[in-house]
Amino acid sequence: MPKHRRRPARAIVLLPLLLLLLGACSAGRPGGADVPNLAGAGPEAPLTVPTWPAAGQGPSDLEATSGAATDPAVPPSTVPDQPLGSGPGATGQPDAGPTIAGDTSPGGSAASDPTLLSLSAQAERAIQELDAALSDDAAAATDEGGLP
Amino acid sequence: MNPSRLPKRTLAVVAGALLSLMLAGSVLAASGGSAAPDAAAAAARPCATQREAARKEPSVANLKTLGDCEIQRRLVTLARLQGGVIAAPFLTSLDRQALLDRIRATRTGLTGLKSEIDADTTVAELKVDLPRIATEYRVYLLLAPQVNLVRGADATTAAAGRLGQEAQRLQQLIDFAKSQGKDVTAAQAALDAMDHDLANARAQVTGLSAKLLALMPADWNDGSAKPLLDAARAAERSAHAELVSARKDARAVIAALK
Repeated sequence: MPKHRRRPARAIVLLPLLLLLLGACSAGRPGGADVPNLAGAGPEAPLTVPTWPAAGQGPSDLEATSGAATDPAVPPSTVPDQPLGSGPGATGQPDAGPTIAGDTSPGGSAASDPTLLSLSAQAERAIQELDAALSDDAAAATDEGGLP
Repeated sequence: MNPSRLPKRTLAVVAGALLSLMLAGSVLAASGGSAAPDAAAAAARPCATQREAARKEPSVANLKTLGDCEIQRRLVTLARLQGGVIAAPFLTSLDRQALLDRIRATRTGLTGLKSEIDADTTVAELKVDLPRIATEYRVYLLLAPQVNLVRGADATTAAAGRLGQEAQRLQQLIDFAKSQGKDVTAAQAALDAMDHDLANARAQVTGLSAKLLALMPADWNDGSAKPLLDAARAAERSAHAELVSARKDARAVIAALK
């Protein structure tokens, strides 16, 4: 009789072991338990919050690339600013990309002119969209399924 | 057999089986399953099985199944096209709305046609209604190209606009450099070439979106839509080349001003 009582007890003891095995298998799946990064990157660096300079306390990120301090004689841009697009799908307006925020600061060389940099980036995005549209058109199915 | 042992043993066996199933499931989930090649092969030939069945035995049931399949795949395509229209960053407000309206109307029409096909009771009726899936809507031959080519035309206009503003700014910088006594001959020549390229790009797509949006399935059926779609493709490819050239000219201006 005592022998008979031990056998089911042994089976039940195996359950936690199997559960542990299951946990180990699922740890690497999305949604599974977190596992440490083994890529050698080390612990994640703490997040730093960039501080935005107060008015008159230094250049903004955009101005910092303009070389404004080195060539104050270059005229400010009179190219009109682009209105900020309201995002795809929101109102149906085309996305005009980032504004050329208050580009009245004197520019440096043409290569670092903030107006040019912004416009060039926007043009690049539009050319890429044209690329994508043409690619989608070329790749699209044209099979009407044998129907006339 | 001791009746008191049976439930515990059964419990252990059932628990073990469940755990095995869970383990197997986790392994399959991690590997992504093995049915992908089959699914890809089936997706490559939409409704092929139903078409073959209807060809071998054109019964009411088989023809209805084929019709439902053809309509369903078009509804899937329409959903994808709608997502693309909503996300397209350079569509004008009017063009975006026009495309969404066209997609919505096509979906409504196909859904109504499905009801008609489902209500058909004879092969003769189905042989009339099934071709309407293609001829009345032209999802693949007309609507999808319309969406992509209007996207392309509007993106071309946007790119030409940005590059045009870039050219204005470059002209300011050239004028300033000239006022400072610098030789701006090379910079001005490159800018003139840029202006020329931009004018060509704009000319390729002026009014193109409106022409594309005006096309209807009947225009495909009578043969007038295809030449326009082909011309639009050629125009957008040409505009693309002009835009790339204008971008290169802009870099040449900047280099000449250094």
